[in-house]
Amino acid sequence: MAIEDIRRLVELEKNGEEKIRRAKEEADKIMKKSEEDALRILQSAEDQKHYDDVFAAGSREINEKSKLIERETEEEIERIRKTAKKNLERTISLIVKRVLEG
Amino acid sequence: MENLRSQIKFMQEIEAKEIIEDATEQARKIVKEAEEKAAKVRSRKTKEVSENLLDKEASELDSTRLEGKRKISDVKFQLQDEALNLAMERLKEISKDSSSSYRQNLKKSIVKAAMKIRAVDLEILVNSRDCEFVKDKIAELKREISKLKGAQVSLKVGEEALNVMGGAIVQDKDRRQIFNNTLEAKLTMARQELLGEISASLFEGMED
Repeated sequence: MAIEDIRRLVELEKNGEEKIRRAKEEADKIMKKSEEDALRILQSAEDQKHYDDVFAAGSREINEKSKLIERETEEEIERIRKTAKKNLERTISLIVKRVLEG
Repeated sequence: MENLRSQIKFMQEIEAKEIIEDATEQARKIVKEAEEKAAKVRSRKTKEVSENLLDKEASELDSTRLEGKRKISDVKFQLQDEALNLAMERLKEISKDSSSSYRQNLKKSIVKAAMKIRAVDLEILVNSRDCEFVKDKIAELKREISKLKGAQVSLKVGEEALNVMGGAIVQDKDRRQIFNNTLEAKLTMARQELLGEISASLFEGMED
């Protein structure tokens, strides 16, 4: 084997080592990025603010339902008052009749 | 020689490619595992939030409904009370009117009260306004009560005038047996016994 051939082989080996070193560097970058991605994914899932927001939105809905029930109650009371007003005279007569007869 | 160089170069490229591929595969696994963990965390936390919201909803809406029912009940009670108070005012007016059916009912009240007392020696107590009327009707009352009791009764109007709007108290001579059939007593009874009837009349037409 000529000296020139050996030199070229050494050169080739050096290039190869460089390629492997760059590949390892690239692999490290890929690994580091995946670990960062994984951390971000987990942090996103753990993010309490998101669940607090969901809870707050749910609480607002409950509050709306509660207000609706209160409005329905007020409407019911209004109907009761109107009905009682309409039937008041008849009811007084009934009580008077029952008391006098009793 | 050239062939050897090609082989070495090829092997180096294969090794470099494998390093990248291994790292890519490992990275994919790390991300996949993280996504699986995240999905579990999300599921657990979402379930927690849902359960907390359900508890909150049940508690708050139950409380609001209960408060609503209490308000409705209070309003109904207040309206019934108003009707009873107005009825009492009406009774006061009726009892002052000697031409009204009150006098007729007063006689019936006395007979009814007398029938509740086992004794035959009876005394009638009324207010000062009704005193003369009852004295005028004492013979008639005596006949009717005696007939109903199947025994001759002794009946007199008491000296003491009651401070009531109307009606009568009937008692035996020893005051051991007393039947209070005054309008006030009957109204008190009505508050307890007629509440269902009063409620049905007052709120008739309401959709349940």
